Amino acid sequence: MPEMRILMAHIDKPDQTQLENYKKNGGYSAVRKAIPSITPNDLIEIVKQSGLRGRGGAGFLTGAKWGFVPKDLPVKYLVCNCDESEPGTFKDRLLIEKDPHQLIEGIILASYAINANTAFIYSRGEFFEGIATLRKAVKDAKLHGLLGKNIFGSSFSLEIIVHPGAGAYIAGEETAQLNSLEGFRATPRLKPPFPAVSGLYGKPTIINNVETLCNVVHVINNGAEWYQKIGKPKNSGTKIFQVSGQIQKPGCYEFPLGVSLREVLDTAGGMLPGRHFKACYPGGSSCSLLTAKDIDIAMDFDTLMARKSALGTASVIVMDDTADMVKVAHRLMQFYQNESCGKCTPCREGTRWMVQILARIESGGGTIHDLKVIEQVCASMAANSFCPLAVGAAPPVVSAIQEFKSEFEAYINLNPHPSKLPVMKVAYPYLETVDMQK
Amino acid sequence: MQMNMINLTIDGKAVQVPKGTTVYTAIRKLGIDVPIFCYQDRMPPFGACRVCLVEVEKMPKLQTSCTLEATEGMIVKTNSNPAVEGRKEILEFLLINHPLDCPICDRGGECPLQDQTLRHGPGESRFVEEKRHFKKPIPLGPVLALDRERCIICARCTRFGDHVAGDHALEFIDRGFKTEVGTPDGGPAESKFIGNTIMICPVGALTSRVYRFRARPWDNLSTNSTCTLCPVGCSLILDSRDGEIMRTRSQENREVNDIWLCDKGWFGYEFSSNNQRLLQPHIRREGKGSLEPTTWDEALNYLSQKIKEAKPHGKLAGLGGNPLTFEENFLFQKLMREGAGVNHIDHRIGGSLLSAEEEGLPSGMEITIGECEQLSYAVLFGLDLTEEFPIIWLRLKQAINRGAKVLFLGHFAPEISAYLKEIILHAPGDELQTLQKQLPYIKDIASQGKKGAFFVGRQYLNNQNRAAILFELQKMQESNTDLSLNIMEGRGNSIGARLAGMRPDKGYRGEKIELPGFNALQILENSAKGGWDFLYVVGANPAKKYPTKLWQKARANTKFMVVQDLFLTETAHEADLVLPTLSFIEKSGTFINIEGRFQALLPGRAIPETLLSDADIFIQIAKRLDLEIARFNVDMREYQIGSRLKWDRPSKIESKALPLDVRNAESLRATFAIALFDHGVRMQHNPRTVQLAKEPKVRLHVVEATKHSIFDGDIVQLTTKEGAIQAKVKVDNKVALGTIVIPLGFPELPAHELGTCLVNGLEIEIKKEQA
Repeated sequence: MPEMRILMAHIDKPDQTQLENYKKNGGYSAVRKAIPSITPNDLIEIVKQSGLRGRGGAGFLTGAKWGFVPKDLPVKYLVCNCDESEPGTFKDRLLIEKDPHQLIEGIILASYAINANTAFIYSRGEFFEGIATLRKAVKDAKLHGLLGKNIFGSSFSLEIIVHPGAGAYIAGEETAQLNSLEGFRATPRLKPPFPAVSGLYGKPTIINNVETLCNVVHVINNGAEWYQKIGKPKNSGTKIFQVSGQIQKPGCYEFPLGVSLREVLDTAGGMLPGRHFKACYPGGSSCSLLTAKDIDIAMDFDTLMARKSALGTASVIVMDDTADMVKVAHRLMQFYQNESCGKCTPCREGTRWMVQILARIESGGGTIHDLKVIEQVCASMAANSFCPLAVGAAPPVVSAIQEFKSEFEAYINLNPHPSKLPVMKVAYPYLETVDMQK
Repeated sequence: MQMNMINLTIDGKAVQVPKGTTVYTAIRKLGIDVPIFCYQDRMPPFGACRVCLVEVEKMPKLQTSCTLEATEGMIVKTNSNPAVEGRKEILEFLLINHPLDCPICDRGGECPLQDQTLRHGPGESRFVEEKRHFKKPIPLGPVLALDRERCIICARCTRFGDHVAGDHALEFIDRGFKTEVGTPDGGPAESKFIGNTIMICPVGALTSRVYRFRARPWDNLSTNSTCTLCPVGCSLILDSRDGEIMRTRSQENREVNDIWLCDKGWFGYEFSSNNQRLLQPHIRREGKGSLEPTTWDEALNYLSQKIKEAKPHGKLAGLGGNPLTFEENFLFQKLMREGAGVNHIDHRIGGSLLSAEEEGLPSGMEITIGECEQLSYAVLFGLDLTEEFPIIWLRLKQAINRGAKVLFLGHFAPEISAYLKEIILHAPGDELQTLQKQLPYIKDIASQGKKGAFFVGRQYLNNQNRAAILFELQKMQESNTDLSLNIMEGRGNSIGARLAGMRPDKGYRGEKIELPGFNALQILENSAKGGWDFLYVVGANPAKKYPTKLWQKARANTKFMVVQDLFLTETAHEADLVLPTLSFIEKSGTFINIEGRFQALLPGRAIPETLLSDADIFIQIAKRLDLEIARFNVDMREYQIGSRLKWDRPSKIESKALPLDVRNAESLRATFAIALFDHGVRMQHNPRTVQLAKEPKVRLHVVEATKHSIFDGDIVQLTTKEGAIQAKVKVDNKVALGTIVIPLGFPELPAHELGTCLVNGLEIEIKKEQA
């Protein structure tokens, strides 16, 4: 299957960030078409019919999400989640740096659909170029009457605020993002109430990923039927696959959903010379590994879920036969340990515990018993945590142990007493004393 | 009612709860024990610790019962294998980095983590790695110590600052396993309520630096008593071991302090064990030489002899009463009125001395403190709530959390400003005009709300126009039955002292006195002018409440002065006889709080053998004067509603406005502010709590400061017609123009030198002191 560029159609054109060029390439025709001639309810209906699923990772139906917003409340918000921090993910960055107006157009459509008059783009703070590009694009759009009061003479008004985050993985979780946007620590909120009912500043809020909102533009331009025909049933549309790791040409590749893993890897240039495919994380790091036997699997939401992995953000992290899975597991768990917000017990304590065990195995002090403990603790961590962070932290490590157990055992066999249980180091005496008189 | 009830089944037992109840509350209703850490019933559910897991039918995962709302027909299992195992795993997680130093931990023996691990936890841990290390303990201010290794990040303390106290004193720092509790700016915790975080901490992470390592909870003997350090009169528990007071704790009282205390209540007890406390009577024989220890017999004989000698001339007076119990005040006034035959008695030392007629309405609250939570609006007229009645703020904050609107009118914005709907500032003396100007606005707020309250504080009460202001407010109240008028004025048990008759013009329960005596100021002025025979000072320090000139003259012309106090105060130094007495920690009796509630005091520690209570001293003296006064039991049932007094307020008061002189553009008008943590006699003898007091500074607006080329931190000279003092300046834009805020209660800033009667609106000349 060849690449099918819809969202990335104009990504290579250097002047696409300019509003005139975006317009020249067919830009802002969707808003012209929709406002005011399509009612917000009809617009939601079109998106529902298109079967568009959220591209942020969970794959929830976008139209259905919009439908949850209560109609009778005056103030509503749209938040565009551009906190792209899943390991291996770099599609949103491409979209905002190369084609910012596509996102703005998507935001206008979504805000119009839910009748929000303020939209926020919560961008990852490190996207300096993207933030500058977006800010300029928002300014230009406002100058051209695409934003601001009474857009195209309708009663609909919209302001977009670009907000840089402060560097926390958890701020990509929608309720944590709302907390962060309000100026609090980025920690997830209790659900219910769901953001669609009570979100930012307690008002109904829809949080959509950058890629999702960009898709809306094309759904409106070409109609729901056209969109449904792309990809597979219930998995319609294209998806930007971000291939990284041990591969010839890492980068973004847009395919219809359901493309096989092999086709994605081949398009990305295949494996490095003399190397063989060993495994990959198909949707960012927070999912189970796919191995060589899965090379022909269809890359879509439902197939990968049935495989007990996930499409996630479609960030394919490729590992060839030189990859050391113990080191991979250790490194990834370190990431989750450092990015756990610390709010709930299982995630805060469990991720650190796992890092400690994996470090010990890697340094040759592991026991066979450790592997059992990792699986047990990961299970209870994922089952009882407050938000999905810990749910995502368990499978990359557990699947690595399951698929490549021999590699772990090889490390454990470095231990002169691999069957003997290690003994806890006593945590006393205190490292330093503090002068309490001060 | 039935419509709003939910039926659910927990462990096979049916239970009915109101709609909106959490599953955890329903579980507790059945008496089933499920561990819990982050949830605290005075704060909204949080769901972070995950330890209260239960199994719910039709739900794929275990659910945290504290966050789950009960729904009709729900089937909950707390004792199923997955639920029990889930809770065990969470407890294992909580313990992997928690040091098992229970034998030396202050919390050991009353620690929720310890107790719940014993009941619900795993017998052994799979954790064999090294535990997390932090430097510990670290001090977070003078009274609070933090052990970060013990902390389980339940967020109770940080959320207390957000939801209950509103001061955000503690915040989380860093994230993940590095998360730790700290203060927003890294300095000491800025709070008046930090002791409560120690109470609600479910482990030994936050500990009291006053109580640290002093006792094990099971060794402590607990006594229910009352805090007398401010007019709120919170219920507290005194814990003692081997006859020594170890700590104070809050005692739940829904009507007054709920489960909270302010830091004065939590830590302000140390003075009672201070080694500078007087333990025996001291006498200065024949008015010469130094104070020497003596026996109680000699002291009391000497004292009654002096009363007998002075009685025929009628130049006797008694001062004090705020730290005494209601009963002791009754005995004191009876001793002075019947034993010494005079009405020259007063408890308002250095306070506002407006006579009963000018007061218009006596102080006291119409609603209970607990009812403050149900208000839908409130107006604070010159009341600095957190400094004077800290616990009432916690109750009012609950109303604000529910959407109540609170307005403030006064001379400077209080520290709770962030929660107020509007702050209207004006210079002292402009109260009446401001009030009249704002009346339509206030009426508008009142018309939107249901239950409302006016709280009138010292900025409006210690004021020439007090009666006129109260007249206006009472007029508004007449047309609105849901509006209460709360007159918030008092120090310690001053309401008890007033009701017991410790004033020259009113007797017990406000009986009319035919020939009123002198008030506190008149007594001193008369002795300074015409000489005096006998002065009895009880629990007061007039030497530091009046201008030194006046006091010294009055003292020199007084033949005999007896001082009854805990410490050798400045006044006691100059006395002819000093009698030691008991502190509120050792007393029994009654405290009448600002809402007129009778709060009982009981001794929380062994009474030192050499000491007598104030009541016993008065009875011993009376015996020697052949006067029959006996221990007195409060029987005021006829005056009470429940456990509170009915205020007998005049239905209509006279409006008397006394216009102030037109203000000189160069001068400022003073407003006198009291602080919760000052350097008063008792606070000075609390080694830890004394550090909570801020450096005393006079405050003024930057515009006024610029006029006089004054900068923050400068030393200025303040001058009135009667005296002058030096003070450090804080430039503070939360102060009204034309106003200078002068703190009371600090020896370093002797405001008492400025005048004999420190009424707000006093004109002050300010000049920068040349360095």
